[in-house]
Amino acid sequence: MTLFYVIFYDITEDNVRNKISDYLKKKGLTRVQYSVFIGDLNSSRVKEIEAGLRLIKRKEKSNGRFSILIVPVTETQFKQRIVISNEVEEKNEDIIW
Amino acid sequence: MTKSNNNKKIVFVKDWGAYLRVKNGLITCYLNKEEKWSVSPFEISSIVVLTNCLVSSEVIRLAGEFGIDLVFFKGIKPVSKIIPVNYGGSFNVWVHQLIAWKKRKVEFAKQFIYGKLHNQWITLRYYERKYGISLSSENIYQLSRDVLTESSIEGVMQKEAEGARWYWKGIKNLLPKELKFKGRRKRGEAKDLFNVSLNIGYSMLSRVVYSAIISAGLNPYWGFLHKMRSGRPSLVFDLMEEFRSPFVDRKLLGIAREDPKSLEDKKTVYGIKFEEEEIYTQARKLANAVLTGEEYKPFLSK
Repeated sequence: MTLFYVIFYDITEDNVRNKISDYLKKKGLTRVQYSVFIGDLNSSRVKEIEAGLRLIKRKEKSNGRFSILIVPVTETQFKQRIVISNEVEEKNEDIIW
Repeated sequence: MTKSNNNKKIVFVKDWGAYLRVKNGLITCYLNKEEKWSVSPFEISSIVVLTNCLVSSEVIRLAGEFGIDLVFFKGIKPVSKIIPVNYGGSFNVWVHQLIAWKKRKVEFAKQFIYGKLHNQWITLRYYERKYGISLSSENIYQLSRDVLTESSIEGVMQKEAEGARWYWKGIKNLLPKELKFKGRRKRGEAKDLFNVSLNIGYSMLSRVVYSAIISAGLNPYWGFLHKMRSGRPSLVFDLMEEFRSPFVDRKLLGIAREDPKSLEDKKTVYGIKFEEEEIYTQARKLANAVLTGEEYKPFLSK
Protein backbone atom coordinates (compact mmCIF):
# COMPACT_ATOMS: atom_id res chain seq x y z
CA MET A 1 0.00 0.00 0.00
CA THR A 2 1.67 3.19 -1.12
CA LEU A 3 0.57 6.80 -1.13
CA PHE A 4 1.89 9.84 -2.89
CA TYR A 5 3.72 12.17 -0.58
CA VAL A 6 4.48 15.80 -1.25
CA ILE A 7 7.40 17.17 0.73
CA PHE A 8 7.87 20.94 1.05
CA TYR A 9 10.69 22.66 2.84
CA ASP A 10 11.60 26.18 3.76
CA ILE A 11 15.18 26.47 4.96
CA THR A 12 17.29 29.61 5.09
CA GLU A 13 20.78 28.21 5.24
CA ASP A 14 22.17 27.06 1.92
CA ASN A 15 24.26 24.14 3.14
CA VAL A 16 21.42 22.71 5.24
CA ARG A 17 18.98 23.11 2.35
CA ASN A 18 21.37 21.32 0.00
CA LYS A 19 21.78 18.48 2.48
CA ILE A 20 18.01 18.08 2.63
CA SER A 21 17.55 18.10 -1.14
CA ASP A 22 20.45 15.68 -1.66
CA TYR A 23 18.95 13.39 0.94
CA LEU A 24 15.52 13.42 -0.71
CA LYS A 25 17.06 12.72 -4.13
CA LYS A 26 19.03 9.85 -2.66
CA LYS A 27 15.80 8.40 -1.30
CA GLY A 28 14.33 8.34 -4.78
CA LEU A 29 11.94 11.27 -4.60
CA THR A 30 11.35 13.44 -7.64
CA ARG A 31 11.97 17.15 -7.59
CA VAL A 32 8.97 19.06 -8.94
CA GLN A 33 9.90 22.53 -7.74
CA TYR A 34 12.94 24.08 -6.11
CA SER A 35 11.77 23.15 -2.66
CA VAL A 36 9.08 20.59 -3.38
CA PHE A 37 9.59 16.86 -3.87
CA ILE A 38 7.09 14.10 -4.57
CA GLY A 39 7.31 10.37 -4.24
CA ASP A 40 5.29 7.20 -4.14
CA LEU A 41 6.12 5.70 -0.74
CA ASN A 42 5.01 2.97 1.60
CA SER A 43 4.71 3.59 5.32
CA SER A 44 8.10 2.20 6.25
CA ARG A 45 9.86 4.38 3.73
CA VAL A 46 8.01 7.45 5.00
CA LYS A 47 9.15 6.69 8.54
CA GLU A 48 12.69 6.20 7.33
CA ILE A 49 12.68 9.50 5.44
CA GLU A 50 11.14 11.32 8.39
CA ALA A 51 13.85 9.97 10.69
CA GLY A 52 16.56 10.91 8.21
CA LEU A 53 15.28 14.48 7.90
CA ARG A 54 15.04 14.85 11.69
CA LEU A 55 18.58 13.61 11.98
CA ILE A 56 19.85 16.24 9.54
CA LYS A 57 17.98 18.93 11.49
CA ARG A 58 19.53 17.78 14.77
CA LYS A 59 23.02 17.56 13.36
CA GLU A 60 22.99 20.90 11.60
CA LYS A 61 21.56 22.95 14.50
CA SER A 62 20.63 25.66 12.03
CA ASN A 63 19.88 29.11 13.41
CA GLY A 64 17.71 30.22 10.51
CA ARG A 65 14.27 29.04 9.46
CA PHE A 66 13.91 25.29 9.21
CA SER A 67 10.54 23.86 8.33
CA ILE A 68 9.55 20.73 6.46
CA LEU A 69 6.04 19.51 5.60
CA ILE A 70 5.27 15.95 4.50
CA VAL A 71 1.77 15.68 3.06
CA PRO A 72 0.14 12.43 1.93
CA VAL A 73 -2.27 12.48 -1.03
CA THR A 74 -4.02 9.62 -2.78
CA GLU A 75 -3.04 8.77 -6.32
CA THR A 76 -6.46 9.91 -7.53
CA GLN A 77 -6.01 13.28 -5.89
CA PHE A 78 -2.52 13.59 -7.26
CA LYS A 79 -3.76 12.93 -10.78
CA GLN A 80 -6.21 15.82 -10.39
CA ARG A 81 -3.41 18.31 -9.74
CA ILE A 82 -3.43 21.50 -11.73
CA VAL A 83 -0.12 22.67 -13.12
CA ILE A 84 0.32 26.25 -14.29
CA SER A 85 3.80 26.57 -15.60
CA ASN A 86 5.83 27.74 -18.58
CA GLU A 87 7.80 24.53 -18.54
CA VAL A 88 6.54 21.40 -20.19
CA GLU A 89 6.09 18.75 -17.56
CA GLU A 90 8.65 16.16 -18.41
CA LYS A 91 7.35 12.80 -19.44
CA ASN A 92 8.29 10.12 -17.00
CA GLU A 93 10.41 7.84 -19.16
CA ASP A 94 10.90 4.40 -17.76
CA ILE A 95 14.07 3.82 -19.73
CA ILE A 96 17.39 5.51 -19.25
CA TRP A 97 19.33 4.93 -22.43
CA MET B 1 14.04 -8.37 -2.60
CA THR B 2 12.79 -6.84 -5.81
CA LYS B 3 9.55 -8.16 -7.04
CA SER B 4 7.32 -6.09 -9.15
CA ASN B 5 8.67 -3.51 -11.41
CA ASN B 6 6.02 -0.99 -10.53
CA ASN B 7 7.04 2.12 -12.40
CA LYS B 8 10.71 1.59 -11.74
CA LYS B 9 13.16 2.56 -14.43
CA ILE B 10 15.47 0.31 -16.33
CA VAL B 11 18.91 1.68 -17.13
CA PHE B 12 20.93 0.76 -20.20
CA VAL B 13 24.62 1.56 -20.36
CA LYS B 14 25.37 1.66 -24.07
CA ASP B 15 28.11 4.27 -24.37
CA TRP B 16 31.59 2.87 -24.69
CA GLY B 17 33.84 3.98 -21.84
CA ALA B 18 31.05 5.16 -19.55
CA TYR B 19 31.86 5.25 -15.85
CA LEU B 20 29.31 4.27 -13.21
CA ARG B 21 29.89 5.32 -9.65
CA VAL B 22 27.97 6.32 -6.54
CA LYS B 23 27.80 10.00 -5.70
CA ASN B 24 25.82 11.23 -2.67
CA GLY B 25 24.00 7.93 -2.62
CA LEU B 26 22.94 8.27 -6.25
CA ILE B 27 24.10 5.96 -9.03
CA THR B 28 25.71 8.31 -11.50
CA CYS B 29 26.96 7.76 -15.03
CA TYR B 30 29.83 9.81 -16.43
CA LEU B 31 30.79 9.97 -20.05
CA ASN B 32 34.02 11.79 -20.91
CA LYS B 33 34.02 13.33 -17.42
CA GLU B 34 30.53 14.74 -17.94
CA GLU B 35 27.61 13.58 -15.86
CA LYS B 36 25.18 11.83 -18.17
CA TRP B 37 22.53 10.82 -15.67
CA SER B 38 22.07 10.27 -11.98
CA VAL B 39 19.41 8.14 -10.30
CA SER B 40 18.50 6.97 -6.85
CA PRO B 41 18.78 3.21 -6.32
CA PHE B 42 15.12 3.32 -5.24
CA GLU B 43 14.10 4.41 -8.71
CA ILE B 44 15.50 1.60 -10.80
CA SER B 45 14.79 -2.08 -11.19
CA SER B 46 17.72 -3.03 -13.43
CA ILE B 47 21.01 -1.92 -14.90
CA VAL B 48 21.80 -3.53 -18.23
CA VAL B 49 25.36 -3.04 -19.43
CA LEU B 50 25.61 -3.42 -23.19
CA THR B 51 29.18 -2.31 -23.78
CA ASN B 52 32.63 -1.91 -22.23
CA CYS B 53 32.48 0.43 -19.29
CA LEU B 54 33.71 0.94 -15.75
CA VAL B 55 31.51 0.06 -12.80
CA SER B 56 32.64 0.91 -9.30
CA SER B 57 32.36 -1.69 -6.57
CA GLU B 58 30.07 0.65 -4.67
CA VAL B 59 27.53 0.43 -7.51
CA ILE B 60 27.68 -3.36 -7.36
CA ARG B 61 27.20 -3.27 -3.59
CA LEU B 62 24.20 -0.92 -3.87
CA ALA B 63 22.67 -3.06 -6.59
CA GLY B 64 22.87 -6.04 -4.25
CA GLU B 65 21.45 -4.11 -1.35
CA PHE B 66 18.48 -2.77 -3.33
CA GLY B 67 17.89 -5.93 -5.33
CA ILE B 68 18.71 -4.18 -8.58
CA ASP B 69 19.29 -6.60 -11.41
CA LEU B 70 22.79 -5.89 -12.73
CA VAL B 71 23.50 -7.71 -16.00
CA PHE B 72 26.34 -7.57 -18.49
CA PHE B 73 25.71 -8.29 -22.15
CA LYS B 74 28.14 -9.33 -24.83
CA GLY B 75 26.62 -8.44 -28.16
CA ILE B 76 22.94 -9.17 -27.62
CA LYS B 77 23.42 -11.95 -25.12
CA PRO B 78 23.51 -11.70 -21.34
CA VAL B 79 26.79 -13.23 -20.14
CA SER B 80 26.89 -12.44 -16.46
CA LYS B 81 24.67 -11.29 -13.71
CA ILE B 82 25.35 -10.11 -10.20
CA ILE B 83 23.30 -12.07 -7.70
CA PRO B 84 23.23 -10.97 -4.06
CA VAL B 85 24.51 -13.57 -1.62
CA ASN B 86 21.24 -13.85 0.29
CA TYR B 87 19.19 -14.16 -2.83
CA GLY B 88 18.17 -17.56 -3.82
CA GLY B 89 18.05 -21.22 -3.53
CA SER B 90 15.89 -22.77 -0.92
CA PHE B 91 17.32 -26.10 0.08
CA ASN B 92 13.91 -27.72 0.28
CA VAL B 93 12.92 -26.55 -3.19
CA TRP B 94 16.21 -27.76 -4.65
CA VAL B 95 15.80 -31.25 -3.23
CA HIS B 96 12.28 -31.50 -4.61
CA GLN B 97 13.41 -30.05 -7.91
CA LEU B 98 15.95 -32.82 -8.22
CA ILE B 99 13.30 -35.44 -7.41
CA ALA B 100 10.92 -33.84 -9.91
CA TRP B 101 13.69 -33.82 -12.49
CA LYS B 102 14.16 -37.56 -11.99
CA LYS B 103 10.49 -38.52 -11.92
CA ARG B 104 8.32 -35.84 -13.53
CA LYS B 105 10.37 -34.55 -16.47
CA VAL B 106 7.82 -35.26 -19.17
CA GLU B 107 4.94 -33.93 -17.11
CA PHE B 108 6.61 -30.52 -16.76
CA ALA B 109 7.97 -30.45 -20.31
CA LYS B 110 4.46 -31.08 -21.65
CA GLN B 111 3.03 -28.17 -19.71
CA PHE B 112 5.74 -25.76 -20.85
CA ILE B 113 5.12 -26.61 -24.49
CA TYR B 114 1.35 -26.71 -24.05
CA GLY B 115 1.60 -23.15 -22.74
CA LYS B 116 3.88 -22.14 -25.57
CA LEU B 117 1.65 -23.58 -28.30
CA HIS B 118 -1.51 -22.21 -26.73
CA ASN B 119 -0.02 -18.72 -26.56
CA GLN B 120 1.25 -18.93 -30.15
CA TRP B 121 -2.25 -19.91 -31.21
CA ILE B 122 -3.73 -16.93 -29.33
CA THR B 123 -1.29 -14.55 -31.04
CA LEU B 124 -2.17 -15.71 -34.55
CA ARG B 125 -5.88 -16.01 -33.76
CA TYR B 126 -5.96 -12.37 -32.69
CA TYR B 127 -4.90 -11.26 -36.17
CA GLU B 128 -7.12 -13.82 -37.89
CA ARG B 129 -10.16 -12.43 -36.13
CA LYS B 130 -9.10 -8.84 -36.56
CA TYR B 131 -8.66 -9.09 -40.33
CA GLY B 132 -10.80 -12.11 -41.16
CA ILE B 133 -7.84 -13.97 -42.65
CA SER B 134 -6.53 -17.48 -42.11
CA LEU B 135 -3.07 -18.13 -40.70
CA SER B 136 -3.60 -21.83 -39.99
CA SER B 137 -3.79 -21.14 -36.28
CA GLU B 138 -6.12 -24.10 -35.79
CA ASN B 139 -3.19 -26.40 -36.60
CA ILE B 140 -1.30 -24.97 -33.66
CA TYR B 141 -4.38 -25.31 -31.48
CA GLN B 142 -4.61 -28.98 -32.44
CA LEU B 143 -0.93 -29.50 -31.62
CA SER B 144 -1.39 -27.87 -28.22
CA ARG B 145 -4.07 -30.47 -27.47
CA ASP B 146 -1.98 -33.33 -28.87
CA VAL B 147 1.08 -32.47 -26.86
CA LEU B 148 -0.74 -33.31 -23.62
CA THR B 149 -0.98 -36.95 -24.66
CA GLU B 150 2.74 -37.31 -25.44
CA SER B 151 4.75 -39.62 -23.24
CA SER B 152 8.32 -38.65 -24.06
CA ILE B 153 10.46 -35.52 -24.20
CA GLU B 154 11.25 -36.26 -27.87
CA GLY B 155 7.54 -36.42 -28.67
CA VAL B 156 6.95 -33.10 -26.93
CA MET B 157 9.80 -31.47 -28.83
CA GLN B 158 8.49 -32.78 -32.10
CA LYS B 159 5.11 -31.14 -31.47
CA GLU B 160 6.92 -27.95 -30.56
CA ALA B 161 8.87 -28.00 -33.83
CA GLU B 162 5.72 -28.67 -35.86
CA GLY B 163 3.99 -25.78 -34.11
CA ALA B 164 6.94 -23.51 -34.78
CA ARG B 165 6.76 -24.19 -38.51
CA TRP B 166 3.10 -23.09 -38.66
CA TYR B 167 3.64 -20.24 -36.28
CA TRP B 168 6.54 -18.55 -38.07
CA LYS B 169 4.81 -18.99 -41.39
CA GLY B 170 1.91 -17.07 -39.89
CA ILE B 171 4.17 -14.38 -38.47
CA LYS B 172 5.92 -14.04 -41.84
CA ASN B 173 2.55 -13.29 -43.45
CA LEU B 174 1.83 -10.62 -40.86
CA LEU B 175 5.13 -8.77 -41.26
CA PRO B 176 5.64 -5.95 -43.75
CA LYS B 177 7.49 -7.26 -46.81
CA GLU B 178 10.25 -4.70 -46.47
CA LEU B 179 11.57 -6.51 -43.38
CA LYS B 180 12.51 -9.44 -45.64
CA PHE B 181 11.68 -11.94 -42.90
CA LYS B 182 12.14 -15.41 -44.36
CA GLY B 183 11.57 -17.39 -41.20
CA ARG B 184 12.88 -17.68 -37.70
CA ARG B 185 16.66 -17.77 -37.41
CA LYS B 186 18.53 -18.48 -34.21
CA ARG B 187 21.24 -16.35 -32.73
CA GLY B 188 24.28 -16.02 -34.93
CA GLU B 189 22.38 -16.80 -38.12
CA ALA B 190 20.01 -13.91 -37.71
CA LYS B 191 20.81 -11.20 -40.20
CA ASP B 192 17.45 -9.58 -40.83
CA LEU B 193 16.11 -6.86 -38.56
CA PHE B 194 13.12 -8.75 -37.18
CA ASN B 195 15.12 -11.84 -36.20
CA VAL B 196 17.76 -9.68 -34.52
CA SER B 197 14.98 -7.83 -32.66
CA LEU B 198 13.48 -11.14 -31.55
CA ASN B 199 16.85 -12.27 -30.24
CA ILE B 200 17.26 -9.08 -28.25
CA GLY B 201 13.72 -9.42 -26.92
CA TYR B 202 14.34 -13.02 -25.83
CA SER B 203 17.59 -11.99 -24.15
CA MET B 204 15.75 -9.37 -22.15
CA LEU B 205 13.04 -11.90 -21.33
CA SER B 206 15.59 -14.49 -20.16
CA ARG B 207 17.09 -11.90 -17.84
CA VAL B 208 13.73 -11.44 -16.07
CA VAL B 209 12.88 -15.15 -16.06
CA TYR B 210 16.28 -15.92 -14.52
CA SER B 211 15.64 -13.44 -11.70
CA ALA B 212 12.15 -14.80 -11.14
CA ILE B 213 13.44 -18.38 -10.94
CA ILE B 214 16.12 -17.41 -8.44
CA SER B 215 13.69 -15.48 -6.29
CA ALA B 216 11.28 -18.42 -6.25
CA GLY B 217 14.11 -20.51 -4.80
CA LEU B 218 14.51 -22.79 -7.81
CA ASN B 219 17.81 -23.83 -9.35
CA PRO B 220 18.05 -22.27 -12.83
CA TYR B 221 20.38 -25.01 -14.13
CA TRP B 222 18.08 -28.01 -13.72
CA GLY B 223 15.67 -27.95 -16.61
CA PHE B 224 12.97 -30.48 -17.50
CA LEU B 225 12.54 -29.96 -21.22
CA HIS B 226 15.88 -28.52 -22.23
CA LYS B 227 18.83 -30.84 -21.90
CA MET B 228 21.21 -30.16 -19.09
CA ARG B 229 24.49 -28.75 -20.18
CA SER B 230 27.13 -27.37 -17.90
CA GLY B 231 26.67 -23.62 -17.58
CA ARG B 232 23.35 -23.52 -19.41
CA PRO B 233 20.40 -22.31 -17.34
CA SER B 234 18.02 -24.92 -18.76
CA LEU B 235 15.14 -24.14 -16.42
CA VAL B 236 15.23 -20.51 -17.59
CA PHE B 237 14.76 -21.72 -21.16
CA ASP B 238 11.94 -24.01 -20.01
CA LEU B 239 9.97 -21.32 -18.25
CA MET B 240 10.64 -18.80 -21.03
CA GLU B 241 8.78 -20.86 -23.60
CA GLU B 242 5.30 -19.84 -22.50
CA PHE B 243 6.20 -16.13 -22.44
CA ARG B 244 8.00 -15.81 -25.77
CA SER B 245 4.92 -15.28 -27.92
CA PRO B 246 2.78 -13.05 -25.69
CA PHE B 247 5.57 -10.92 -24.21
CA VAL B 248 8.10 -10.59 -27.03
CA ASP B 249 6.70 -11.68 -30.41
CA ARG B 250 3.41 -9.92 -30.00
CA LYS B 251 4.98 -6.63 -28.98
CA LEU B 252 7.63 -6.64 -31.69
CA LEU B 253 5.03 -7.66 -34.25
CA GLY B 254 2.92 -4.68 -33.22
CA ILE B 255 5.87 -2.32 -33.60
CA ALA B 256 6.92 -3.87 -36.91
CA ARG B 257 3.43 -3.62 -38.41
CA GLU B 258 3.06 -0.03 -37.34
CA ASP B 259 6.49 1.23 -38.36
CA PRO B 260 9.11 -1.34 -39.40
CA LYS B 261 11.84 1.30 -39.45
CA SER B 262 11.47 1.92 -35.73
CA LEU B 263 13.00 -1.50 -35.03
CA GLU B 264 16.31 0.00 -36.14
CA ASP B 265 16.29 2.08 -32.98
CA LYS B 266 17.76 -0.31 -30.45
CA LYS B 267 16.26 1.67 -27.58
CA THR B 268 12.80 0.66 -28.81
CA VAL B 269 13.74 -3.02 -29.00
CA TYR B 270 15.65 -3.25 -25.72
CA GLY B 271 12.96 -1.19 -24.05
CA ILE B 272 9.92 -3.38 -24.69
CA LYS B 273 8.15 -3.83 -21.40
CA PHE B 274 7.29 -7.14 -19.82
CA GLU B 275 4.58 -7.83 -17.30
CA GLU B 276 7.23 -8.88 -14.79
CA GLU B 277 4.66 -9.57 -12.11
CA GLU B 278 3.22 -12.36 -14.28
CA ILE B 279 6.64 -13.93 -14.71
CA TYR B 280 7.35 -13.87 -10.98
CA THR B 281 3.93 -15.35 -10.23
CA GLN B 282 4.56 -18.14 -12.73
CA ALA B 283 7.96 -18.92 -11.21
CA ARG B 284 6.31 -19.23 -7.81
CA LYS B 285 3.68 -21.55 -9.30
CA LEU B 286 6.46 -23.67 -10.73
CA ALA B 287 8.24 -23.86 -7.38
CA ASN B 288 4.95 -24.78 -5.78
CA ALA B 289 4.26 -27.58 -8.27
CA VAL B 290 7.78 -28.90 -7.69
CA LEU B 291 7.32 -28.84 -3.91
CA THR B 292 3.82 -30.20 -3.53
CA GLY B 293 3.65 -32.63 -6.43
CA GLU B 294 0.62 -30.78 -7.80
CA GLU B 295 0.15 -30.29 -11.50
CA TYR B 296 1.95 -27.32 -13.04
CA LYS B 297 -0.32 -24.99 -15.02
CA PRO B 298 1.48 -22.79 -17.53
CA PHE B 299 0.81 -19.12 -18.22
CA LEU B 300 -2.01 -18.96 -20.74
CA SER B 301 -2.49 -15.62 -22.46
CA LYS B 302 -5.87 -14.31 -23.50
